[in-house]
Amino acid sequence: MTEFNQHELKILQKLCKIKCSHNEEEILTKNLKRIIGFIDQINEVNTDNIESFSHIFSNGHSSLRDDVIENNIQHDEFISNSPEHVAGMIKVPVIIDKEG
Amino acid sequence: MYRLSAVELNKAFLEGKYSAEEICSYFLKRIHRFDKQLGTFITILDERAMKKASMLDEKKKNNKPLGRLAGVPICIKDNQNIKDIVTTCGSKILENYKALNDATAIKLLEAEDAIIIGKTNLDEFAMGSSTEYSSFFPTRNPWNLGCTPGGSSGGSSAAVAARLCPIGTGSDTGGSIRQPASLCGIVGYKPSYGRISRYGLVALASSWDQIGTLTNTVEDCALMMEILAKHCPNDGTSINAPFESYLKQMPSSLEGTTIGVPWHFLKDLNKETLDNFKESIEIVKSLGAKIIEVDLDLIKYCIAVYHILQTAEASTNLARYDGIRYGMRSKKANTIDEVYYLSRDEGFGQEVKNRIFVGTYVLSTGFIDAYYKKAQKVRKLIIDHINKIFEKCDLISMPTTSSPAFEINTIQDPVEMYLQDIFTVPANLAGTPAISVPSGFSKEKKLPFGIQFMGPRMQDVKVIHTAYAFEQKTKHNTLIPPLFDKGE
Repeated sequence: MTEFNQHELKILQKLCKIKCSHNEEEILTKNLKRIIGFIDQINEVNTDNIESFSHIFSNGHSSLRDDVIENNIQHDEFISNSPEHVAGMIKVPVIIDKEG
Repeated sequence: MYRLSAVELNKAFLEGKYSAEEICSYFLKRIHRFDKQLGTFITILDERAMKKASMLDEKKKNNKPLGRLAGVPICIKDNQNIKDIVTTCGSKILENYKALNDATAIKLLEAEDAIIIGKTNLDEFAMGSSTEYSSFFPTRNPWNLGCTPGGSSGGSSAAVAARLCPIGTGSDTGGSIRQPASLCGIVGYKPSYGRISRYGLVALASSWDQIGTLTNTVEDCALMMEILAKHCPNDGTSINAPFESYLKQMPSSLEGTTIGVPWHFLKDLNKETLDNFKESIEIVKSLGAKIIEVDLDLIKYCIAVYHILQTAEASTNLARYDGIRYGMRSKKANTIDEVYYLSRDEGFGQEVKNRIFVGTYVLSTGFIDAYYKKAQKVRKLIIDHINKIFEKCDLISMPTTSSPAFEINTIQDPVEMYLQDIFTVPANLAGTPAISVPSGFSKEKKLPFGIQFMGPRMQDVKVIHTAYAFEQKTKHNTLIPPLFDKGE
């Protein structure tokens, strides 16, 4: 069975971009150990010579369309949903500092 | 009026028995009267609904053509977008998010003059089987307020079961329409993958998600399917297939139909559920169907496969909630990293975090082969196995759930919650159509059971018709939860 511990949880927090409190780290570690322990059972299944499932339409269904611009979302409407905006632009903390 | 189906309400409106305003006002009053006990609605659209109703009455007065759902109130699961209305997905991170456009399903329903009466509660981001994981409040089962309605489409299921409106939409990724339908004693349908557009459905797991129907009758399900099952150019997975009539020639007999039952897989089921299922199969036999035994032992791995592939897809789909372009941004964030880390920590609930973490884990370097790629192969193996079974029978039948509705706050172990979907996940895994129909009640607790019929891909007509024949023989759908079986 795969071991899951707090060290791995710390790595996952970076990958998932979710910061957990110390209390929550304990709960999450417990839950993930349980869930990962459960999903390990797929190793019981022999999948030699089985190809991977790639898409529900296995006969090469194509869904391409012409590259045509459609004006279905207006700028003002889009901006109105952002948590902070100014002068029609989304406001975020500094990404590139003066030294960068 | 609350006892009428959508078909009957539409007829009553067209014949002039009730105006659209009368119907809309009646159901809004019912919602405001009863929903405090149930917690089915996140947003009630009083003004918008009455405006639509008034417009329909005007259309009728001027002899303009009216749609197939004219005068019929419908509730929409709150992960489906309606322009300028909040879509919360049951999550704090989208608590104030206003949709920028209508989902295709919404456009189709409104084009047929349905009156959208509100957005219903769900497990956060449709991740759950009890509606307890909603960030706002749990929904309660109308048959027993101490029990869950199931999930994740618990809000729509409970609202339809309590007759707060006759029909609703849900979404089904691993059973989230069929399981709550079974626990609430109503009809829940998940079509073939690609049959109903996912455009405007907030994505959970893109190769598993489908919008579907929650109704009190199979006839209403068939009507909704005729409206919704259309090709959509905005959804790359939408099937481009000819119109199918689900309402035409709905049968009363199942002569000529062979149904496969995995008796061996069901052998450890709890006695009451198994007894109810056996009785239901006897009824199916009495309708003329032939029953054969099929080997579905392989589906015991479905939940594990599901919680690898669905969580992998979900972790990718939920990466967009970063506090930048839309959704909640943490007020404590000072740096760009803190915007991401803190917004997502504060905005997501526990189960959503469980799944994002698991999904990221199974895709990460060192684990992707053992989990994600392995699970894709097991998925293919199970799909091929199910397709082989359909060479011997027209449909597969199982109980929808392993037991009736459970009490709120009793399932704390995430894996125990996942196992609620053991009989429903196979249809999502293989992209096949499946329906849950009421099949009786538990003797002691008087909670509903459901029977599931699953068909091969694109055999939606066969699935719906089989359910219709069963429903007409048993009439379980005429029963209404006693607490809500009250008029004005």
